[in-house]
Amino acid sequence: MFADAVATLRKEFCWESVSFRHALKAAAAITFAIVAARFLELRHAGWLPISVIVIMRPSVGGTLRIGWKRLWGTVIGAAVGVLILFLDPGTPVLAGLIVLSFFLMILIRVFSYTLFSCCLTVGVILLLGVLFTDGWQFGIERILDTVLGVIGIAASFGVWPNMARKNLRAKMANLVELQSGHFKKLTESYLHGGVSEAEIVESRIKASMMLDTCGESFREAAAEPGLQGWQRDELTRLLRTFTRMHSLLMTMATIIRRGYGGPLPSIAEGMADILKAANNYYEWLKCYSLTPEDCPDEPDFDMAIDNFMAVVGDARIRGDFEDVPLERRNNISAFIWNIRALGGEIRRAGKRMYELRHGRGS
Amino acid sequence: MFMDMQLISDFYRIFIRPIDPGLFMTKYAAKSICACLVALLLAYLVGMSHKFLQWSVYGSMVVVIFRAGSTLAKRKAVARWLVLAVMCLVPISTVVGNHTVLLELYLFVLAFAVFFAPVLGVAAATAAIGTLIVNLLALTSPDTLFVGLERSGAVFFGATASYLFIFYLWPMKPEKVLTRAGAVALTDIGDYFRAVASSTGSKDDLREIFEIHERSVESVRRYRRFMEAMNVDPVKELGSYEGPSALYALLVRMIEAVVGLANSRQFAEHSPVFADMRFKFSDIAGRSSVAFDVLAASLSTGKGVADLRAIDQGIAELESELLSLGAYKRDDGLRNEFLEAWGAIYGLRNLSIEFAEMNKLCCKGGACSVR
Repeated sequence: MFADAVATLRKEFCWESVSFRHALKAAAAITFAIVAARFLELRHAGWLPISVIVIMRPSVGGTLRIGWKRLWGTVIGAAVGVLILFLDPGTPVLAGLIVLSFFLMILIRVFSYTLFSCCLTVGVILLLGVLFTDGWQFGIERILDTVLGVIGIAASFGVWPNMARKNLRAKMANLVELQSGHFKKLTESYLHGGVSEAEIVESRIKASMMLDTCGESFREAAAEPGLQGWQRDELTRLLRTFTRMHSLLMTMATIIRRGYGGPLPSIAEGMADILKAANNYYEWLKCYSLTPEDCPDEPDFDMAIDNFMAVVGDARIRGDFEDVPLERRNNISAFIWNIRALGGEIRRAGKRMYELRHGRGS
Repeated sequence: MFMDMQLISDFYRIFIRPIDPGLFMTKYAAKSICACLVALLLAYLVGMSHKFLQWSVYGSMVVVIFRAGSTLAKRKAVARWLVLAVMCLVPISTVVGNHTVLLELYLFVLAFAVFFAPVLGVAAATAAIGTLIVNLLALTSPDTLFVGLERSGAVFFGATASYLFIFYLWPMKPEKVLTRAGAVALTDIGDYFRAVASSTGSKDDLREIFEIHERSVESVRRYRRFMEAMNVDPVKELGSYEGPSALYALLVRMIEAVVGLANSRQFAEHSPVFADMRFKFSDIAGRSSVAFDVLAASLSTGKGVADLRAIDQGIAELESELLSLGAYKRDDGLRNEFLEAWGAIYGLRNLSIEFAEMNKLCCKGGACSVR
C-alpha cells in the first residue's frame, strides 16, 4: 500500500501534472493570504487563509462557484449572527443557538454549501459574541476576510488561470468511452450471453460517476468568464443529451436481461449489424469529442436503422413472428425503439458539440 | 395530538426529507454535536485550562467533520491518522508562528503537501484539509514549544473523547441502517415513478422528474455506500440474491424499470390513433404507484404484499388493444409510433415483473433473501 502511494506521489510530482500545478498555486495563494492578513493587521489572521483553503478549486469556474456560495453564506450568516447579538437574548439562549448552528452546519454540509457557510458563520459569530463584549464586530470582520479571500483567489487566477473548459474535451471523450464500453457489454450480453449482471452494473456505475464528474465540469465551465450566453446554453443541452444517453443505456439493460434467449434467429444477423453500427457510432462520437478535425465522416445511422427495419419487415412477411410469444416480440420492439433513440441522441450530442465549437447555424 | 403528528409529518416531508431522507445525516449531526459537547464537558471536568479548552474542541471537531473512508474500519483509520498528523504538527506550527519568514516558508510547504495529497485519494484529501486548518489556527496564535505540546495534548484529549463516543458509545447499527436506507430508496423510486406517471410533459414536470430521479439515484447509491461500510461488496454478489445484495439488485432493477418507463411515457404523442391508449396507460401507471407504498412498508415492517393482478390485467388489455390497432401488421407511417407504444408497454410490464420480484424479497436484520 505504501509502495503504491509513493509510486503515485512520484508519478504526479512533475510540472505536467494538474494536481502538482494546483497544489503549487494553492500553496502560493494561502501563503499570500497569511502575509496579507498580517499586513492588514486583521484580528483573526487565520480566517483569510481558511477562506482561501475552502474555496480553492483546480479551475477558475469551480473556484468562482464555490467562492460565490461562500460569500453569500458568510454575508447572510454574519448578518443573522450580528442581529441576534444586538437583540441580546442572554447567554443560555446564545449557547442553545450556537449548538443549533453547528448542528445545522453538519446536517446541511453535503446538501448546500451556501447554507453550510451561513450556519458556520452564525455559530462562530455567536461564539465570539459570548466570549467577547464586541462580538458583533467579528461579523463585519468575517465578511471582510471572506471578500478578501474571494478577491485574492480571483486575482491569482487572473495571473495564472486554469479554465475548466480547457479540459472539457478530454472529460467528454472519457464519458463517451465509458458509455461506449458499457454499451459493448450490453451488446455482448445480448448477442452471446456470458456477461454477468455484476459486470453490467459495474460498468454502468463507472459511466454514471463520469457523468456526474462531467456535469460538474460543465457547470464550472459555464460559470467562467469569457463564455457567451448561447455557449452556456449549449453546454447545458449537451449535458442533458449525455444524461438521456445514459438513461437509454439503463433501459436497454432491462431489455437485455429479459432478452428471452437473445435475438430471433431470422433477424439475428440484422440485430448484430445494428448493434455494430451503434458501437461504431459511439466510436465516432468519442473521436469527435476529442479530435474532431481527425475524425472520419459521421456514420449514417438512419440508413442502418432502415436496413434493419427492412430485415424485420421481410421476416414479418415470411411469418417468422407468428409463433413468437407476445412478450418476446414486445422485447424486440422495445429493443429496436431504444437503439433507434440511442442513435438519435448520439447524433444530437455530435450536433451540440459542433455548435459549441462553431456556433449555432454555422 | 393528531394535528401535532400531522404537522410534524408535513414538516418532515417538506423540509427535512428533501435534504435528509431517512434522517441519516440528522442523526449523524446530532451524534457529532453530542460528541463535541461531551468532549468539552470532560475537558472542563478534568480541570483543563481555559486557554486549552478550544484546542480540545478543535480535536473533537476534526474527528466528526473531516470524516472519510468507504468502510467503517477505514473511517476509524482516517480519524486516527488525522489526529496523529494534527498532534505532531500543532507544536511545530505553534513555534514556527513566532518567525515571520519561517512561517511563510513552512505554510507554503504544508499547503503544497495538503493540496497535493488528493492524488492519494479522497480520504487523504479530507484528512489533509483538516490538518491544515487546525495548523493555521496554531500558526496564527504562536507561542512556546511547551504550549504547543499542551495544545497537542488537548487536541488528543478532545479527539479521543469524540472518537470513542462516535465509534463505540453511539455506534451505527448496520442492520437497521441498511433496512431503512432500502426503504427510503424504494420510496424515492416510488416518488420518481409517480412523477413519471402523472407527467404531462411540461417543462415544470420534466424539471421535477429530473430532480426526483437524481434523488432516487442518490438513495440507491447511499444504500450501496452503507453496504460498503459494512464490508459487503455490493456488486460482487449481485446475481446471487443473497444478503444485502438481494435488495440492492432489486433496487437497481426497479430504478432501471422506472427510467425505461420515463423514456417512453409520452409515446406517440402526436398521433390521435393512440390517444385512448395513452389515457389507459396513465391510469394503469397511476394504479401501479400504490404498489411502491405497499412494498416500501413491507420492507420496513416485513408485512404486506402488493396485489399485482389488476396491473397485469391492465397491461394485457393494453397489449391486445395495441394488436387490434394493427401493430405488427400496419406499416402506414405509424411504424415509429407503434415502436414507441411497445416500448412504453414493455416498460410497464417490466416494472410489474420487478414488483413481483420485490414481493418475494424477505428482509430480516438488514440481510435479505428471495423467497
